Amino acid sequence: MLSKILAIAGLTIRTAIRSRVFALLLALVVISCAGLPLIIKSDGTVAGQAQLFIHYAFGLAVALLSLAAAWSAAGAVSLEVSGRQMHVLRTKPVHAFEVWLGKWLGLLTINLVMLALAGGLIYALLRWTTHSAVLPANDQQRLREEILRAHRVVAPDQPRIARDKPLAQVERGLLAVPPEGTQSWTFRLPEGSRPALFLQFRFATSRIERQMPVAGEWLITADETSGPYSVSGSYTPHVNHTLKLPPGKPGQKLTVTYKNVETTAPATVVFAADPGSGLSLLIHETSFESNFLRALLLVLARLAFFSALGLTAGMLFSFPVAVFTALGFLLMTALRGGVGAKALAIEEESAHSLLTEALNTVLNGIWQLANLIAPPLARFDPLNFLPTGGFIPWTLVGQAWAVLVLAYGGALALLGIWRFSRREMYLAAG
Amino acid sequence: MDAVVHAEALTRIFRDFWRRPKVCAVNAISFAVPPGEVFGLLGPNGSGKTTTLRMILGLLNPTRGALTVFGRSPRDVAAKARLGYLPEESCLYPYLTARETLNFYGRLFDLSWPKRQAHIDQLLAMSALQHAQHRPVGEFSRGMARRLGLAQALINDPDLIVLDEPTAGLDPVGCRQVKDLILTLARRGKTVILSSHLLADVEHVCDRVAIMDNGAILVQGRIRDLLEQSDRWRLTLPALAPDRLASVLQALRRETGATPEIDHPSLTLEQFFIETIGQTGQEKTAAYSAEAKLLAAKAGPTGGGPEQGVADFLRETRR
Repeated sequence: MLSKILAIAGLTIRTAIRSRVFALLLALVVISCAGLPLIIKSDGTVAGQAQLFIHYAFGLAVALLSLAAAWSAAGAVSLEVSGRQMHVLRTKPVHAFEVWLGKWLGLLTINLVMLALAGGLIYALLRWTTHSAVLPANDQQRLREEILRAHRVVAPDQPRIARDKPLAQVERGLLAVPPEGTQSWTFRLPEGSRPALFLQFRFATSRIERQMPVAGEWLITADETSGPYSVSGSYTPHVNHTLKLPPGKPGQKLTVTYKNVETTAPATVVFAADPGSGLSLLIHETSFESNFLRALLLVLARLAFFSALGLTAGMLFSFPVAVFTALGFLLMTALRGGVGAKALAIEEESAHSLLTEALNTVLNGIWQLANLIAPPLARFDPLNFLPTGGFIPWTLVGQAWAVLVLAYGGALALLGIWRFSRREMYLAAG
Repeated sequence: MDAVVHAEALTRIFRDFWRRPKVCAVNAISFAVPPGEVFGLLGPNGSGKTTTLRMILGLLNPTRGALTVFGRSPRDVAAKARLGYLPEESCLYPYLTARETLNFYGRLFDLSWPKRQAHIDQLLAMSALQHAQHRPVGEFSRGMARRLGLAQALINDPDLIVLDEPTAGLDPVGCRQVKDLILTLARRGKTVILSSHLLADVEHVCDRVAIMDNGAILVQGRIRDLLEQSDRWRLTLPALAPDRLASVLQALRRETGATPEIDHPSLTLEQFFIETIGQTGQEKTAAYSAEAKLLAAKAGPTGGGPEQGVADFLRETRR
């Protein structure tokens, strides 16, 4: 059984390499990743540049590889059916599950090699653009501490909202700090955490000039320490800022207070209540390389799922239909948030029109269906972690493989194998 | 002895998108192919012979009736392990070389590496493809691809070989080699089922034939029985001097009251086929006749090459 599966896997790899699909895809990935540093424009900081490079280069590589994984998998069986090679293969003592597994393993190997090449290229480019000969020492240190490290993100407890805050702001998830005003957050450090701490924040202002800095003062008090730790500075809006804090103790409670001390050009400072985009505490967990590897494993799980999706579509349909189905499913997964948002917006804006109500019902139905059948890809998206130095725990990697590969991939495999074992070849009369 | 292939009231109806019956490609046919027999399926285009072959191969399901191969369902992998198939068109992987192609199919039969390599060498020798064993199949001529297709059908030393138009695309020498190969396989106790339009080929290699038209078997039986005219006699006599032959003829004329023919008349398979189908036009007849004559005229001696090659291969697989 294993010999047959490996034979089919080897055939799939050979076909991909010799049909030049592999070379074309590799060229696309190299060109897009290598060309990105030349065209992206960041906020002007080294950390921002590195962050943007990781985000776009990694995102583009993942998008290209996902598309290629679904496309090549859709053709792996359906093109052999139309080319009639599959007809001969089906006269050999091979079970449908051996065909599916062999093809999937072959595709997974191709994806693994492509991903390793893309990951290696991105890492090499990142190291090359940020090596010591290019950047001054303080920028190097900032990069090492903020981006090229993996941090665990600790969200604050529900912030205390002053009674005088406008209700609309609170409802929209915003925390506004007027001139001379203050806002406090409380954090509880997890047990067993490492002591190195960073406060990461980002804010907007009420000014028209979006990039004009605002003076602010941060006050950090720990429940067991004698005195507060304070940092003052001038911070640019719409940019991620990171402050290094004194070492904390596991289980410690920290109170972080921001005071708006801008006097030259007073402005209201607005934080998002959502910890992901407002304010959070970062704890050093592991090296960037280790985190990068976990990110690649998350992507590989995603590619394995797309390969399973394309393969099953190819076992059910002809090549054009299989490609359309696989890519349509990808699109549906990507757009499901947008469709849901649109449905809710229509509901809010014009609930009384019969047409819009019907449209809303349809959109809601699509959204519900998409939510029901689409895998939770966003939950395992490495772009949620890697560009900001967010720590990817092994448990998340394990969950991604369990959910995307074992659960969803397994269900797709069963469907594909069941259908393929019953599928007839040569359906034209002769 | 149990039949290798047994079909009973086998029917296949092709349906349209709405599941409505569109074509009845095979209509309640019954036949059995015993071990060691070369069985030919004959018929004009669209007669149902290829559909029948595809049901035997497990590629199509019967709509009604029963079909077994080695006493099992044709879709059973245990039956497929004893089967070799040469499709009408070469359906090989264009990016693989000849050796890789045979190696791939050999692995599907769980053949060990040394055994696989030995089979591959013998089959490449048999198909005269040793010089092209490292070339991609996509660069092969049709004849070379056909020979490689035949080699892949034999990689597992099958007990049943299904050949769909085995001589299609081959030059007369290649046709002759394939026919010799089929005869060699039959002598070695293999069962062969083939479909062909080339009646001279079928007549040369088949023990039994079934003639199909419109999905039905019009007639089936041993070729000799089908072609023989049993209401007449042919006397085979030693060579006689003209005066003695004249006296024999005179005696026969006296006994029968008619002028006797010395030779026992016999139809060619081609004539029988045309009579059976009844509706085939003159153009097709002329084409068949011309092709048969051409093949007969051009087919030269093949020597011991391919036949010896397959004999070696079969001998090796027995060890």
